[in-house]
Amino acid sequence: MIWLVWRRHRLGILALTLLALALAVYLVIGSWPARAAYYQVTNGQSPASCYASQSTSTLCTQLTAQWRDTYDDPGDVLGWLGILIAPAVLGMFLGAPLVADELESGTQRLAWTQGVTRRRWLLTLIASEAIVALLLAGVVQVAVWYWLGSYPPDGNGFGAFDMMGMAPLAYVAFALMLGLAMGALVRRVVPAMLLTLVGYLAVRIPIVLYARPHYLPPLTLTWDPYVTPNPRIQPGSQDWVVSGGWLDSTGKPIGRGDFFARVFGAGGPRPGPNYCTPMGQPDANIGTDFNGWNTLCTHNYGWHYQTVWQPADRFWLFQGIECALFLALAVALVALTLWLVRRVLA
Amino acid sequence: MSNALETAQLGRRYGRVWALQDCTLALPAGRIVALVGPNGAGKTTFLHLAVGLLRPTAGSVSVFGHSPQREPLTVLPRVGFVAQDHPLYKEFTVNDHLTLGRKLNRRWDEAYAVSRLNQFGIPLTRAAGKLSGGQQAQVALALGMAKRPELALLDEPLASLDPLARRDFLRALMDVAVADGLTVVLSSHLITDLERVCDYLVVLSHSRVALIGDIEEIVRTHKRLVGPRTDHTAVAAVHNVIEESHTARQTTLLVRVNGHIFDPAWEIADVTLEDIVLAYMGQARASVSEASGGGMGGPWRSPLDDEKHDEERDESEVTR
Repeated sequence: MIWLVWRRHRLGILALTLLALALAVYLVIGSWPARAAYYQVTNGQSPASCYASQSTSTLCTQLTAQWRDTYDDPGDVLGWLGILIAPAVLGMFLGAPLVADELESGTQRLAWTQGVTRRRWLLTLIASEAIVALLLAGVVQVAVWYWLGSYPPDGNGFGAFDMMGMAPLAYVAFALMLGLAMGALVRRVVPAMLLTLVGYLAVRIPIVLYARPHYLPPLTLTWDPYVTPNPRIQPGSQDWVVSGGWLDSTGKPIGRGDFFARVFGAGGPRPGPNYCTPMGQPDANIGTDFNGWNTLCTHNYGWHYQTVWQPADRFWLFQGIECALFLALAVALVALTLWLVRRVLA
Repeated sequence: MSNALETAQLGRRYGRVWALQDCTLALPAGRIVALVGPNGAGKTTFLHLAVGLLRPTAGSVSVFGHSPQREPLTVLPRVGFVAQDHPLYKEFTVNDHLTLGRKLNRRWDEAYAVSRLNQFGIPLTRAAGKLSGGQQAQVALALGMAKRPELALLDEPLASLDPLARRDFLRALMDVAVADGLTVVLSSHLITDLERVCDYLVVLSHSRVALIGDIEEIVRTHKRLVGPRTDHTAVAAVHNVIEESHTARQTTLLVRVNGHIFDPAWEIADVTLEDIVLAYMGQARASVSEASGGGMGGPWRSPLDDEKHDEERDESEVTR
């Protein structure tokens, strides 16, 4: 049966293997400059040693700032997109044709009248394709791990949640089974592929935006920066700041436009009794660094700053939750496909 | 061994349209059965129900006493099925198809399949999509027969073949059938295709069984009566009138006779099987209420129900 999958889909599998290898090579080679600069020793120090020793010397501040300016984070758009879309591509090109192609060409009448049950036929095909897909995903994961490792200060933790650890493998399993189920549902290869892409994004995006911040109740801190310039508990650089912003005296969020109008007045910064006279450039969204501007103003308005975050040590727990979620979806899709193939198509 | 295939009130509906309904029949083992009917009569649906590709909406079907749906592992190895248009994986070579058969079947006679294919000069290393229609049909038949089935279900196997290929195909089929005591069901919309090889007949029309029985007996018991244009109720009281046509002076009847016809007014002639089949199909179409054909004592019901299925979708579409 594995032979059947290979014989029938070998061109697609080879093409996807080449794509996966290309992406892996691209990520590995693309990270070399950042990696080289990170270990580049200047006057006995390198960004690596500075980060390791947490040194605050002038040289270190300069070296780390320079490195961050150039290689701030894995900001490579092609790499990001490649990693995020890869599961959908596997689902489209490996999952969707599996049943749809048989139905479109009528060969299910040949395959399903041999000596094995449809259930076994389907489960073996699923297992074979899952192995292929996870091998390919594994290759890419190793490259991603190396790629992210080239950006030690930022390339891990919640910032790289969608690419790290087990979550991408769960996305692959989900996308593959989504393709399979769509194929059995619409019975045509091309519509099934399109539905797989749309469905994948329609599930992934809302989960990232709306579900993931609430896997556990986030930590919340609300404070008046005038009274407490440096609260003792604050999100660290590795924590995931879900949201942050000003609240008015009644606890309602202040919109960005409102904030600037009240702080600066219409038409930009100007001093005046009714307005704050900030010395810096306050930003409604980047609010935790209040050094250098007039927090008395916000204090007089009765405003508080609120920050909501998920601490970094929840990373693996959240990975586990997200994995479980997508694997459960994948299992449900397998059940749906089995039902479609055994009952609806009979 | 009595019956290879039995159905009881078997029916299958797609949406609101019945593709096959109220089908009760028994096909004796060891016979070569012609399953004949116009396009859309329910032939493909019937065969797909028999091999378990489809589930019955009503009634039941059993193959050697087992349900194809509930006991696929018992039924599938005993049934060789060649679907309409003999589907093959176009990019697979003939050898690949043999591998597929070997891997998906516990009982598999590869030497037999290879010798058959060699006999017809079919190159084993060529992609199936590059073979001629006749060669593809031979490959599909070889795959079905390499299972060494006890029942072969062949859906319109001759449709894409030229006359020479038809002869070869039927000859090859007969060799197997005779040697193995195989039960074969061949479907076609033309009885003339199958007449030479079949000894049992099922006529489907408008999703119902219109006629079933041993071909020799069917031919023997059907006669054409030609007589003066008179009232023929006397004949109809004893025999079953399948078809009647009138000119100003003459009446022609096609009847299934019960016993002898004594009335010397009628000139009695033999009828060809094709004419009989066409008459039954026409009868179902006209849905004439008195043409019950009940004298056959067959397990089928008359097409009293005048529900029309002319709009029925193409079978190959329906059975996806």
